[in-house]
Amino acid sequence: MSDVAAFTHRDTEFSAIGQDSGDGLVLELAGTADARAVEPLGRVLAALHRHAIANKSRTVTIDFRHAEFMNSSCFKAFVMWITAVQDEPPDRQYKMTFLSNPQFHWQRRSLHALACFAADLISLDSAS
Amino acid sequence: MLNATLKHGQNGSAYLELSFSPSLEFVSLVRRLVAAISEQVLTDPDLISRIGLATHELLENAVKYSVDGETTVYLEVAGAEQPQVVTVRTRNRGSADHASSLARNIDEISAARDPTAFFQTLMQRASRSGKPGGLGLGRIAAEAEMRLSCVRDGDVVEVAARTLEAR
Repeated sequence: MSDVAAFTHRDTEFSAIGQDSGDGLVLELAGTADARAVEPLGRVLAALHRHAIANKSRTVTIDFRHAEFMNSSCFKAFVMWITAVQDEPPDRQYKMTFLSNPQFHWQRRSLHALACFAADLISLDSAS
Repeated sequence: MLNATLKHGQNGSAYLELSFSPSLEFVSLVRRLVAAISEQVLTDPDLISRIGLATHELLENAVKYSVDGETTVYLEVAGAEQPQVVTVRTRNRGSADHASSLARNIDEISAARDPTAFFQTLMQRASRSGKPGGLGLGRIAAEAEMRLSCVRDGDVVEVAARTLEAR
């Protein structure tokens, strides 16, 4: 996999590491996505979307397994990203998979809410 | 500056009061502290997570809109009652405009018959307007499964999230 700098962010509390494996894009989130993460997360998701559209990606995986917490502003950044995908013509839309960690209880309800928001585009996969 | 008062009753009750100058950097720290204290008196990790979520969302709102140097968060676990009542409250001074907006959002969320369905409505609104529009409060009702209320006394705003469920 090659690291894709345009959709990567790292600081002491939160990281979003993007990779393009050729089979699809993967964004690995780790740490706490609180108010300080809103701007970088929005920027990363916008870049990820541009990359996915430009490269005609069919799938994008968001790996939440190391995401300890996400506030509503970061949650909204995902709502905006999902809306941007929905606003694309059908042949340019890509599928999204969210990998979750059952040990972080907030993920069950929050990721389910996001999946319900775009049930035809999003699938959930829980870590074993 | 962060001042803390913690009382832990023998019947499983707990009371935590934290006052601090508005700083978004403190919010995650306080959420973790509230979750750690909740773990001492509650056994359900899902409930503890929900209390943490409610604490974080209420506190971020309070910090963002506080007009002076202080925000206070309270955690109350009433151990003598079954099921235990868990309440998270924030208190701060805010502008009249913000207090009115907050009260409207809470009234609308509280009136919704299905908080989960209404949260989807809030997500739709946020996606089109770009404005928060009570998404954090809606999340408390839908995901933390807590009831919201708001009391205003002059320019002091107190918002509470309460659950009756505890295991």
